[in-house]
Amino acid sequence: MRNTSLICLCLLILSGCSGSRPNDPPELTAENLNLALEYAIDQSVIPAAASFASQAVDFQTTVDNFCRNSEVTELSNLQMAWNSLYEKWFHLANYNFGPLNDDIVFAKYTFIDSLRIRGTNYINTVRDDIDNMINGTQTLNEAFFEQLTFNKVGLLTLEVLSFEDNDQSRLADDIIDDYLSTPRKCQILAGMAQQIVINANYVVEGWQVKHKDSDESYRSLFLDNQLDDGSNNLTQLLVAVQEHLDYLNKRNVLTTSASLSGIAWNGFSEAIDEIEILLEGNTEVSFLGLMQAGGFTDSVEAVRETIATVRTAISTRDADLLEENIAKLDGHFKREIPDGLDVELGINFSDGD
Amino acid sequence: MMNSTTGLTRRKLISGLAALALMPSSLIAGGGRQNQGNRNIWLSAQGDRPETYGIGWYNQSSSTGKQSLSGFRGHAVTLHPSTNRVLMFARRPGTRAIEVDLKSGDHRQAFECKSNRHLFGHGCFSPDGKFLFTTEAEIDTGRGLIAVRDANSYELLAEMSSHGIGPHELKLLKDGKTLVVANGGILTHPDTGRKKLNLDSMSSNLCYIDASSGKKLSIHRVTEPKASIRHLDVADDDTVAFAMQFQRSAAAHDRLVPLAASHRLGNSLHLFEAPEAVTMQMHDYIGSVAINNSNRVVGFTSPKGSIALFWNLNNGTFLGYHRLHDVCGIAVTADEGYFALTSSNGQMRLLDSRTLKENRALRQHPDVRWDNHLLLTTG
Repeated sequence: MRNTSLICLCLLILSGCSGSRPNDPPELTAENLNLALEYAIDQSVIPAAASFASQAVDFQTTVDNFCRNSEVTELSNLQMAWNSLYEKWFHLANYNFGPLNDDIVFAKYTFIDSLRIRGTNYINTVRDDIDNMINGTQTLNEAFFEQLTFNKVGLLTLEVLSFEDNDQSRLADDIIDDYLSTPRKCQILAGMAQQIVINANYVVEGWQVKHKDSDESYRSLFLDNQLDDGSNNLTQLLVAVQEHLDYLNKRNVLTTSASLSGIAWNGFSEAIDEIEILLEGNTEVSFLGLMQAGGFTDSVEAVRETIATVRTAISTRDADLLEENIAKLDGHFKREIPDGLDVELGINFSDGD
Repeated sequence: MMNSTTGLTRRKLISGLAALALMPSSLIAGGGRQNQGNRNIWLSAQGDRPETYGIGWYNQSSSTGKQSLSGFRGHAVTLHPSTNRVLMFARRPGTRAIEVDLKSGDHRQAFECKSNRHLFGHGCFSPDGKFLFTTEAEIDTGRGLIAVRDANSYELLAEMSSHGIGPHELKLLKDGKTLVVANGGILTHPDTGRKKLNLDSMSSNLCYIDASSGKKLSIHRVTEPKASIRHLDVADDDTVAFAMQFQRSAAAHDRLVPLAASHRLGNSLHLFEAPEAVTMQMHDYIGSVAINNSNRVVGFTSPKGSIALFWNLNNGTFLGYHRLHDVCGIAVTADEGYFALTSSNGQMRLLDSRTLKENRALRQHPDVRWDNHLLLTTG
């Protein structure tokens, strides 16, 4: 008994001398970095995909309801459901890799948000195409919608169908009259809603079940660092967020996107929420926490300050401040965050080389 | 006009260069086509900071690599046609080149540019192994030059105009005496680093030059004024495939611009088209090009888009792409069976040159940082 107590005492003393204790903040180690990455995938990325897919289904339900009962309340529900879908998209759009972007020509993200490609606003293409479909004789079945090009489907098409009539009136009565007088329009709305559900489900399934022609989920491939394009997993994640921020500014998303619903600011707000959770995490190991543990306190503070200023810009609707700080945050993802996490983004292949 | 800078007379140079045409094409360096089987040695500038910059070579069959440090960031490497010597040229606006003996591993500084000159990272040997040609700039005027050096002593023998600003990659046609040069058209100055000083007036061209006289034989420009021709490769029939970088910030439009093209003397330029999404993926930048002669396929790489792209060299049909993070190095194996690709994080991949499918069993991933250009040779 006495011997056992002595051993326990020695063990306690020894544990007190060791480098880490349970309550110590996690250190910046490869193991903890992998853990943070796993948390990021399981608590941010996949939930963002699942949430978008779930909202796509909800939107489809409101479409069914509206088409069964085309009146003001159901139209309002339809529009609110589209707003939610748009907002959920701004969470997922930060993670434009893996199943969302696994084919250059037919990437799923392009069929969800055509603006994302080059900032081209295809609203007139969409309007013309809706007119053609309404006045056409083709069978509006799943096969028909499946073969439509990226610039004729997705969020923009659903926005046009939900927020204006064929003469571009945004009055609820006009929109409803349109649907009542042209039954094919509801078939179009339903078909388009189904396509976004299909695309959203593809992304979730790719992350969770099976990615393309592999036998594994993209989650497994990602966390095992076995990405087909040879990129490092953490690099992939950071570059994806950085590219989204770059896109938001470069393509003037604030002024181009959601022009009928008028909720582009919401998109930015949701995107920044997502980025903050991604970095701060809600578990004991987070990217910013690890940077702090690695001594990059100034960088962490700079990131937090930029995020706070982005929020201020959104709440005060200050577009210039927003642009300036989205660019700053973009820069953090190119420099401070990779440096703080000891991540290599790659060699600088510059113009002229 | 050629400007003799040493005791070598133009007559001597001309007679030396005339003999180049007699060399069998199998001895002509470039793209690794003198290699055999799969005993490939992969050579490239390497490193991601001054302490690790150098030239590296990696033996595919033994999975072993070596590196000689240079202290400066290199760009392209070229193999002497009849010895084991390899040169690595400094990236713009560097002034030095180092030489490595692949057998012994010995390395030494090959040469430093004369004053008021800098390199653009590329050079090529004459097929008889007597001369070395490098693209250079006269710093105070910005004039593009081609320097001619003795391939053994690296003594500067002559300089000739590149007939443009910012000459980048150059190669010899199969006659061994006609140089084809990619004049990027962009003026830079070492005092302002890599800043582009003439985007408003830039003028890029593809220029054919008589290597013995410096005479301009033929000059060609693409329609898009802000497309900078940078890299090229020459097929066995002298078709030149070339790659461009589009200066979008200086452009007056937001259209996508084809970045890959071909040309053959006597014919017009042929721009290679691709689906819009593919062109967009290149992010206005192609970094390297290699031709597979047996299948008449040309490959281009865009590290900014993390993609390698392939076209039929005969008819310009787009054949496909391969995604690889930060891919830039591209070359063809000796047996022409594969396109070899390298990336900045060390990946090495081989794509069947007929199917363009990757042979995954041959993947390797050494802990190196491959830079822009890849050269294959055999051990």
